[in-house]
Amino acid sequence: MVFADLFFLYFFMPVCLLMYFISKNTAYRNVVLIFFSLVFYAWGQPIGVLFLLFTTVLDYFNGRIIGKYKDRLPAKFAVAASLIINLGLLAFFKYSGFVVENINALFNLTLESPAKTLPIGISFYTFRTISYIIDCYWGKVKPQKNFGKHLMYMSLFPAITAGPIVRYETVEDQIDSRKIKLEDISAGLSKIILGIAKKVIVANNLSTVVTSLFGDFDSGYSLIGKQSMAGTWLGIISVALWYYFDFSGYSDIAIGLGRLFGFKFNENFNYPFICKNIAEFWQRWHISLGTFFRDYLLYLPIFGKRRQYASLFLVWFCTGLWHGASWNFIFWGLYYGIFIFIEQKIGKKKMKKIPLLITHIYSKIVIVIGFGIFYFETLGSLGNYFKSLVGFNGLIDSKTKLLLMNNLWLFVVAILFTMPIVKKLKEVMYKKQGTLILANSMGIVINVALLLVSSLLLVDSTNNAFLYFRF
Amino acid sequence: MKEQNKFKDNDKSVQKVTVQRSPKDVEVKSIKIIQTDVIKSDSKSDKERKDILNVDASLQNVVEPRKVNFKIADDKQKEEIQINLSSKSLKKIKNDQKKKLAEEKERLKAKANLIHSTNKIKADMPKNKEVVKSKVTTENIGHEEVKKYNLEFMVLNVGVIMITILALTFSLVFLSRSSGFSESENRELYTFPKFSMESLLNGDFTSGITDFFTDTVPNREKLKSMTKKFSGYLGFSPSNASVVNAGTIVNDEKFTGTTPNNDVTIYTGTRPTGDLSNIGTGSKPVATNPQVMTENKDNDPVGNGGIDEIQNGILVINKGTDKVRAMELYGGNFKVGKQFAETLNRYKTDLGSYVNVYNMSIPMSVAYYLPKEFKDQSASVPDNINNIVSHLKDVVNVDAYSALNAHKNEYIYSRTDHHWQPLGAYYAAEAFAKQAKVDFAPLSSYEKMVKGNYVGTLYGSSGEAQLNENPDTFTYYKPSNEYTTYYYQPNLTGKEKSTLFFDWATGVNTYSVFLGKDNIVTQIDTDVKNGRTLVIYKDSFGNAIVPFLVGSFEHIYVCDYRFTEFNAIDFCNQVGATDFLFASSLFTNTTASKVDKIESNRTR
Repeated sequence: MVFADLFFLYFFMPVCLLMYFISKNTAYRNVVLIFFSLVFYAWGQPIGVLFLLFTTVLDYFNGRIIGKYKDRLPAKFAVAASLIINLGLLAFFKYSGFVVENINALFNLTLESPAKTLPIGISFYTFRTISYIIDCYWGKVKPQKNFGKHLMYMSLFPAITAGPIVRYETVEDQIDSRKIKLEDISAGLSKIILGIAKKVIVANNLSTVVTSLFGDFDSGYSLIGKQSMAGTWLGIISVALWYYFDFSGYSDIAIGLGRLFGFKFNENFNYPFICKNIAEFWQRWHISLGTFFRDYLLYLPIFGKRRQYASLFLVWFCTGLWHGASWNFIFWGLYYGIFIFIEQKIGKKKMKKIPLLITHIYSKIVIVIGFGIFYFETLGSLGNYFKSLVGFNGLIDSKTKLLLMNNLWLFVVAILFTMPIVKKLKEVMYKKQGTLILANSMGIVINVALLLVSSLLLVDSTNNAFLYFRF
Repeated sequence: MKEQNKFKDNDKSVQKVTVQRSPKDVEVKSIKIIQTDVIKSDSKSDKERKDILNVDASLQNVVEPRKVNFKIADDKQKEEIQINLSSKSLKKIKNDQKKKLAEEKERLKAKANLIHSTNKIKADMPKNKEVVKSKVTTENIGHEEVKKYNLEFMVLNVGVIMITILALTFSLVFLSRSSGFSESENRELYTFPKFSMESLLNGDFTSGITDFFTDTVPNREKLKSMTKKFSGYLGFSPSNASVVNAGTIVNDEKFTGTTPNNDVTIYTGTRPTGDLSNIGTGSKPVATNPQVMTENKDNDPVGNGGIDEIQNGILVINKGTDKVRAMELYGGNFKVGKQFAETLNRYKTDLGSYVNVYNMSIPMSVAYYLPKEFKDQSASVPDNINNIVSHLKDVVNVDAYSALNAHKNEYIYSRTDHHWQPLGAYYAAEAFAKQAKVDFAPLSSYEKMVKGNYVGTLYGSSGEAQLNENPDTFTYYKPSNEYTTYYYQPNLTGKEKSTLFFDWATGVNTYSVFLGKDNIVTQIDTDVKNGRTLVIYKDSFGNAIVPFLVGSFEHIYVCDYRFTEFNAIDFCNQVGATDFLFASSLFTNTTASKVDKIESNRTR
């Protein structure tokens, strides 16, 4: 099931909330959450539940073993078993096809990919369970003894399919007892509506612009081969904005839903496009993934003395690969790795001396070109992309001009809302009573308007799957 | 005081603290160091308070290990921790050398600072807390009054949103829903899925419910036309134009050669008519022609409306007027055009000199109505036709492009549909009749029929609301002579007598007034006695010319190349064809998969 969907918004969610709030008993609420989470997960792919349950049971026992045999051999064995099995399953489902494809290409074979389906959200829940097991081993969290509670953590539907990668330590206390205040419900609902509006009003329309300029995967990105320079740039700017609004919209809904149920997930996006350099971009974009790699991979002492740079590129290789089993994602990850490496070499102090305007332009150009690499999943189209980017197919064409004009307000709104203008406006307006009342009333009106417009657009939605579902 | 000054100096540079501690202590330590900074600036002006906030924001980052670089300095496993304070007030280390020498000193200094800061934190705690809080968090402003207001608004916010959600839930769940055919989308809407263990396990049942829920929303058509309008608010339309859909790859090939004067002699004799029941379907072995192309599995949906013919970008012009017009942009392809011409040449070779073979490449509306400023978005229609013609051998070309061009100010193309209007087909048919040397009835002799409220396929595929608001009128003409019409299945079974015109065709399928649908074979026996038998192979564009030839040929057979299951040459021989007309849109004739299909009709 997806969030930006009439069935979810106007059937699943209200029924779930109703069932959840009719009793204050935490045990009852946990059961309701588990039930609805499993239904939510099974909705599109019933078979996937089995894989989720397998991982849950496995790491429930691994966690117990780690708790019982602290630092002794069985605990180490449990960590190793968890890592091998979970990463093995992820590799099998997500990457075996890619490996087979490359072997076929190298040796001219026609082997078949062993994995036929990809369990939804496997990239996310695998990382979630790994963080739990490692944190147990490091003693950061206490292993969960109650299987039901462990299952609830693993299956929690707001974050099951596309993150954020919620750490066990973030919700440890809330699993046992949750206090839901009026503030949580109000903020949660507002956040859900914001997320849906981001997805349905902004992201979906941007995606139409992108396919009009580039074509899509199914059409082999046919249009990029002849796209003008202006068209290519307009296209990748649209891709960057589209992915931001799509994924941050999803995260907002997840965080908002979590809050309704009494969970406080960390923010996953923090206005990434206002960054001044690439390192900062990644501290603001998909934060839960960046911190995961930082905490569990970057500081692993596997490269000896030279580990600093080797781990840096390992992290970026993995970040790229995590996003998809395709070469362009690997290039994309390493591309960011190179810029972060360069930034580290220049040094923070020198970077700070560079005028703001230049750092902003530099970082935006790097990011936007990066999203182009992210978009074109075939090597041929990737090559065409770089040709078109520098003007091999002319500078500008009438369709680009027309598309820009036809969607001008969309672009203006999208770019404005990548910046924290609402946040700043609120800060200013909250200073005086008059403007405070105005701000709050406007907030309510805007909430309802966004909800109604989004719902209306959902009636006619065809391109509604969230992007990060595939990852 | 001395301490304080030292601290200030320190503040302007990167603090380098060397300690021998376990990593766990590092976090605690770094927090404290930064907090000293916060407090120190606390009593300063507003601008600097902003800096505090910056520091405070970066505080969280600094606490994160990412900002702290661990380095193994030497074998003693002594850990050197570099903490970079990211505040505007911080400046570059001016003298590294000096710093190294002073390293030990600094360590002591840092310790002293810590003690100092801890005390200061204690002293300034309430004040500091308030400043930071009121600046950083937006929701919990300090005043009680504001809190009260916020509480009231929260109640209001939750109330209003929940009422909206519940009201919509109630109406979506309990209002009556209906499936059925959607005019604007030209498809059947989803029905509630049938439950079975299998459909439950593979997810079809559950996703079917989701599809049904969205697809049969009460008042769907009305709501949908509202959503279509929304895209008009996303920007504005310069020159009253907009473009939608995945675009078209334009091959900007220019035809520079000359088309040969097609001096093909028209054979006007007669041939005996055979019996269709004897035609084998697929019995003929595949010809040993070296140029046989691979047969593409065509996924054309069976049905009418020809949605499969719209695969390109759509340009909408004249927006804001009642002459709003959508047109399919055209990519063009000289190579495939040549293949098409060569395919027709092989038809001619196979059919022999007693069968006249004609090519009528029918232009799309983009040929006549594309504004100059968008010329780069579409390939040239006449150039692509000329390219085909230049490769024809012994095949008669019917110049539909010029015939229509002479009348382009008349209502020869629909504005909301990708097909032409019957009037356009009339001018093309006239050109054909002239080439074929047969009689041709003037338009005045036909019975004129008018259908209003015709919103064609381009509305559904472009989503342009203005097309829906300004429908076409569909005017068609019924011949006045006597004729009988029979239809066959694509394998030539199931012959049945019926009517040539399906007057009840409406809405998006108004164009199916002719022949009803594409996946049939049509036979028309007329009262004309000239011994000429015409076989038309066509796509949906060709349907419209059929009625205008009823007064020109004794027998007419109409086959759609996409659906017939028999060999075209056998068919022509069997029915005693004297004339073989290929009447399809230029789009078909320059699309590789379609030309493959046309070839396979000859060789199967």
